Amino acid sequence: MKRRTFIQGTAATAATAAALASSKGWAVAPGEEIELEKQEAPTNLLAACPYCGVGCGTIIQTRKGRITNIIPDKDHPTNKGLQCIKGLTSAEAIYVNRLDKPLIRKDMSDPLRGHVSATKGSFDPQHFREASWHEAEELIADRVAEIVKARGGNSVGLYGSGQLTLEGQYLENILMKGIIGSNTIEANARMCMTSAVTGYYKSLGSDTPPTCYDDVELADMICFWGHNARGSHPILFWRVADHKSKNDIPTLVVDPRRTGTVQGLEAVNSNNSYHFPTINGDISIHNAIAYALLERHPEAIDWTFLKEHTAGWESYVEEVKKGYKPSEVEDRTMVPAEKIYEIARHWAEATMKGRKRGTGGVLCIWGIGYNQHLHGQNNTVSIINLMALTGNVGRPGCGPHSQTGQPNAMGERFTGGLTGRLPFNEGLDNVEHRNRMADCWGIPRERLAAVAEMENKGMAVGMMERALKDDVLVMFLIYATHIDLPDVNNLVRPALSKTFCVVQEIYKDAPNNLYADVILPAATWGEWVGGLYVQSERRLFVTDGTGNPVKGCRPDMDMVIDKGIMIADRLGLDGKKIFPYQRKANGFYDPEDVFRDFIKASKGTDSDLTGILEVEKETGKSPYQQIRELRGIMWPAPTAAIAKAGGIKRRYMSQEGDWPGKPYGAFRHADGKLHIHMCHQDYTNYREITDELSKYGVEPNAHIIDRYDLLVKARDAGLTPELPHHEFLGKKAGTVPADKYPFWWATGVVYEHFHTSKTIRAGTTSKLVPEMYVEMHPDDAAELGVKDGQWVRITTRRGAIEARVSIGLDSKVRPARNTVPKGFLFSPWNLSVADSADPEKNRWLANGTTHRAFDPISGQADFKKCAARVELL
Amino acid sequence: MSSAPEPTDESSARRLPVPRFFLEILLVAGGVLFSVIFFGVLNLYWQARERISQDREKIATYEARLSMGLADSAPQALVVSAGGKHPGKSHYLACGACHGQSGEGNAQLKAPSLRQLDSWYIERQVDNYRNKVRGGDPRDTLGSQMTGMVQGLSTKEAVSQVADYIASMREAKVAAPAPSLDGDVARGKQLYGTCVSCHGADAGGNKALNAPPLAGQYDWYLLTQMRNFKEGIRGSDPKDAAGAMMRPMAQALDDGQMRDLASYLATLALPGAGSLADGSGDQGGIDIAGLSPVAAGGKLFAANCSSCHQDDGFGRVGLAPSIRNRDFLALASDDFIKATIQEGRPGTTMAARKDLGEEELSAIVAWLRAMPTANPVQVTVDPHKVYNGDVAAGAGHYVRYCSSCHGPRGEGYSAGSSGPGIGLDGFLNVASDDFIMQTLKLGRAGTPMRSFVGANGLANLSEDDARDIVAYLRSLEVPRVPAPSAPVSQAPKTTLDPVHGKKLFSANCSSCHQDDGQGKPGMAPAIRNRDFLAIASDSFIRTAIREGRTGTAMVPRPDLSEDDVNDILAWLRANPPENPVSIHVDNTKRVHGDVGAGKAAYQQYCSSCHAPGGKGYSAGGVGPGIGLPGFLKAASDDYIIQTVRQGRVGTAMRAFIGAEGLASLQEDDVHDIITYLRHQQD
Repeated sequence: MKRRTFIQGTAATAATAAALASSKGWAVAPGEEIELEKQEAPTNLLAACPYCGVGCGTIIQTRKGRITNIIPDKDHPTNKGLQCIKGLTSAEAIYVNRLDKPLIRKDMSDPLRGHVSATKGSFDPQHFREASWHEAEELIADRVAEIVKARGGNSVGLYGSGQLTLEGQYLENILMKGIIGSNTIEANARMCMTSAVTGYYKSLGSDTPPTCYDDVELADMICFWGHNARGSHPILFWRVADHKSKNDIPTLVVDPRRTGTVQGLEAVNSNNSYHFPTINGDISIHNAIAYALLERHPEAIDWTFLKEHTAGWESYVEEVKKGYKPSEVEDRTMVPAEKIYEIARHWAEATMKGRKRGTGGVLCIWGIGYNQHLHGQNNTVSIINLMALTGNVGRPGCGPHSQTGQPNAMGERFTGGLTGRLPFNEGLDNVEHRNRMADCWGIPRERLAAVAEMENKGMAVGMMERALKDDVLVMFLIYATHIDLPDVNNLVRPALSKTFCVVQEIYKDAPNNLYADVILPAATWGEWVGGLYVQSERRLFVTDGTGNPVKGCRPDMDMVIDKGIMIADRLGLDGKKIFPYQRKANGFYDPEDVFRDFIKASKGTDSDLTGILEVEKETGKSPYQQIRELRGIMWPAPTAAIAKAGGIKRRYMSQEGDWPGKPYGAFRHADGKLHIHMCHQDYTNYREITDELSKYGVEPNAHIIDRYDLLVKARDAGLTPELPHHEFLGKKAGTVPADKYPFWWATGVVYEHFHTSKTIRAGTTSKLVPEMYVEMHPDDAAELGVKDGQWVRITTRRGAIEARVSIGLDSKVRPARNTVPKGFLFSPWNLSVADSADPEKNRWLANGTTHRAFDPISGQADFKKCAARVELL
Repeated sequence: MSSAPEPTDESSARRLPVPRFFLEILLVAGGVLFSVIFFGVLNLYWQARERISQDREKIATYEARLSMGLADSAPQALVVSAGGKHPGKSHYLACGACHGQSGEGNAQLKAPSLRQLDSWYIERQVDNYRNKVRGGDPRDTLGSQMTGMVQGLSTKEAVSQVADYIASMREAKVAAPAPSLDGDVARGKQLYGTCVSCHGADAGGNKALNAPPLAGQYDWYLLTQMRNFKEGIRGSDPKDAAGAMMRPMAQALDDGQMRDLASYLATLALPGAGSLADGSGDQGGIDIAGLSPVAAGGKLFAANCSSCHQDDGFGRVGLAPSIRNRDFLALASDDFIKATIQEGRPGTTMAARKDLGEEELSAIVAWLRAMPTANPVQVTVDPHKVYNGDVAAGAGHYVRYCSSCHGPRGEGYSAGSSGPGIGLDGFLNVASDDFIMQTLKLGRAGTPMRSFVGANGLANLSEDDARDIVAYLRSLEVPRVPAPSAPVSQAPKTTLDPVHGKKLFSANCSSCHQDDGQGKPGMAPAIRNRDFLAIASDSFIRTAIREGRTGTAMVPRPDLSEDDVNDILAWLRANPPENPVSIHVDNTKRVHGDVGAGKAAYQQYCSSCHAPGGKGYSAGGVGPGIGLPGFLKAASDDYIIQTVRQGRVGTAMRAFIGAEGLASLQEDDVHDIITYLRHQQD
């Protein structure tokens, strides 16, 4: 009775809330301006989620050309109707805080004449003037052409993004390598999974994850290496947890923290859920497991596979036996030997099950916690070594499976939008392919040949150091933030200040705008005409859009075309021939035109997509329509039959099916083999090497690209960029000497947020996790004298952030999901500018603290192992 | 398996594709918004009309072929001379060279076993080989051998005779083919859950669905055929309609899974004579004597529950929830499960199974609780607990966290959402506050519903937040349906209350027929539209409500009083969405047509949507079961005729009679169809 009265009493409020729900769309935070005119019927668009690389099928609900809501697509094979909180609320971040006019900084940096703008570092509107699109683009084209003529194409840098559509990425690469003639093209993929890219390349001969999500449900054992899937790829985690709860498979999580992934799997069955809380020890763990297998489970070693399909296995076996007895490498694995043997037993059992059945075995999944290392490439190589040793490659239900962070990071790799790369898994040094690409692009062959000679040493980090050395004068930031790069305050921001910086950006108070000379307002996901995203299992999927961006904004792809044509014309090339695209009646270019050209260019490569065009010829269904109907096509799709079947699910060992003229054998290397390269971890000269590395970011004018030898030495020994002073652990805060850093300090992601821009602007996710926190062990907190919920400062050699201490699962600081080992601190980088993007007020900038040391081959920075100390506020 | 069955007509060349065309539209409807579909239907309807004229040309071509003796004829009855030599035997001699004189096949010669196959299947395959519909692909070397061999069977009669002879071999005592693959039988069994709806739980095949028996066949042969289907070597010829159905099935499988399936099938006993009868295979009369409760429960579950909840009880998204998982079992008491089985779940496809006794129910529960994974969770649901949360706060949470899947106000599917309607009374009247709360806390494995509470929840909500959500959902509730204890013996009231009727409708009928009574393809028909209301008498509707519709999700609702039913009727008839039409239905009319012609017509025009034999949704059809006793008892002949004449606005049912009809039938054709449908029941 009381209850009924209560409901009536609040009926008015409820009605208001309900009215909000119906008139303002669904799942939209109150107070946000979304106009809906009711008379228009709602329309659904198919898209891949704008967030992580899992690529959940997402239905964008629109009304009157405006995005009102997101619902998960129950017919999509990836998420099957499930979506995480970020994707579900992704509509909330679209119409807030938007730029809608091109802006030009009044005092621009002029690198040719050595002028550095005095107003860089500010996005105060008074430092900018509004401009027309025409004026802004003319200005950019003039400046860039002038610099290219004076200093060569390689003085122009570009930092692109895995949020761009495949079509945009493809054109961006043509713009840089073809038109401008620069090899200085990088992307946020570099900070995300190039270690996997280069590792795959070294082991398998091609940057192709050979597995697919459906392997999860076939696997007999699943290992997560440096991957908190619960936080970063929740749908994948739930698929694994569901599979485990149905089939009781053993699982291993290798992660310093007891994450939600560890706990979630233990909740299913703690008896066969393992957690190795190692810091930096992955390679030693792989080798120790290999040792245990060789010693106790000889039946699990697949000698036939090794002999027939691999190269280099002999010395691998020998060196593992020589140096990786589990009890003798505990200093590096941080795992007791008996646990290694237990995992080896499960590994052997799962392997035998899979081998006998023809499907299944061990599936290894990893994320950035595994890639972001000085030895990131070796992490990938050494896990593939272990999988090859037991024949867990080339069969459904097993194999290596890397996860990408950005929804279209795979697209970036696929289109070759990185230094030295060309589309379709080939390098600039492949002359035949390079010439073919030049022909496809309408670029003189010698122009690309010249680009192939250019260097961009150090890749993304190197590009910034080169800017500091006046070697890079222009910087394009396209749909990427600069705060995902390491050592922002000592490296990236000074570099951007010096360059002529052009930014394509959607938000008004985005950190990129601080350093921009010209800001072009961009359309975002869901607003553009469409395009493709490629998710972690190589699935190309549409990201349809309303074609109705916020007035004044343009899709990034359109900006690339317009700029490209203008710059080409100024450099004496025929822009219209290179970008022969026409605006359609809606005022935008049609990405499907670009995609058709992309498909044609793929012919004959190991990522051939031409089957899609054959199907189009046969059935009249456009490429996008085919992809929509199949809910994605997994590249490659070289024949009509394969395209119709949704592309190739799994690669290598003839899993591709009937592919006449397949340009490789069992594996992509020229010899058709999987290459095994022994990777080592040797801590002998740990302190000396890290002491030397820790100078970078501290000493002025010390450029790490000048010390490749040091990086290689650290990489070959499997080290970290720094080594904390553990002897000062246990001291009260404030009593540690100023040059001592006792803690391991890692940054990463939190489930509720994706990167640093959209989810902090979305009502729901910003409400769930609103502020910067640092996870701390209760003993450390007690010894330091800090309490749960207290604000502290975390300081490294390069900078500091402020964060609330979060201790354990009962912490009052959200999300309170993980626990950390003693001596280890963790914060999410996602909240970097959630307090303010203004450097004057910004206290949470995670990458203000990180180290610029990177893997010398993959270029990936090591965000996971910095030395830090905790200070009271 | 969401794919709909093929018509049973053996001659694919004769088949008019029009009904199938609708079927395709409706398959799409499963995933697409209702409104989109509605316009799609309209649009495609015009295209369909265009195709009809094309089909008329095809008929002309067919007739020409027939006159040349090339086309198939209707199946002929075969006469086996009693005790004498079977007329097919002499034809079979050549076949026996490879397939064995007892039809047992020969692994060395890669010849499959034939003796378990039915004559209809043999005949179709022989025809397919003859026309290179099968075996025409250059990659199919063994199949191409057969295209030559069948030329020896020169006449239709010879084919029938040999097919019949092969079918007669089933009684011969020959050992089942030995397994040759090393697939995972357990996993194969699991995978077979998808195949079961066509090929049957015992893999004995189902003629009505064009599905041959798989048991008793060599595993290597099954594997080859699955691969062939997957690669399009088999089943990609447009004339192979039945084979085309297997293609997407095979494409969903990888090689290891096929191997597992084949290995599982190799463990199944060769079906005995007579077990391959036409029909869906009666699952009643499961013998559980002497079995342990868990074993018995597994058997009962497989027979009664697995087609929706899947063989392993893990459910299938969009079909039925996982019920054999620790989250659900922690939440559901034994009594809850038993009551749900016995009473069904109104508003879902979970029908009441009053035929199962206590012993059987206990066995099913025992099997469910004997899960493959240990580590059960204990949760107690207190059905009387009431959560008094803050409705306004709950509304905010609902919009943020729930609306994406369940719709802006919990309308569920009817609002194009991907999750069920938790704001509908059909749900709210069944679910207690604590049930909702525990579901929010635990999630529901096997469905997209995850926990939303706590750090490991999808949204890290607090329990207070969850409480607010429960309160908000309850605030959506219209007053509860009159309690069952209300006196029923009152004299029927004279005034009708359509407003009350609407409330009753939303509480009792809307989760299937949708809030507006416009139905949902694949789930329940539209009943609040002028065409239906014009031909359905009050007593017809009353009967349907009171007695249910056997074989569909329409369960009997004897608990609704006569007044209630009248009020529902009043609402249905009040201000229907379009102008009412008046059609006279002569409920006394009885038609007498030709069963054979009716069957053929049914297969051509009706079975694509209503499923073979009119079994409707239960057989995977997208239209309701019009061959089921529940429908046929309630519907008069003239009701059916008028429906076929008028079509049914708001559903995919179009007029089929006359020049404007979808198929230009004559009324006589409909008489035949009705006669066939009724004849099936006798």
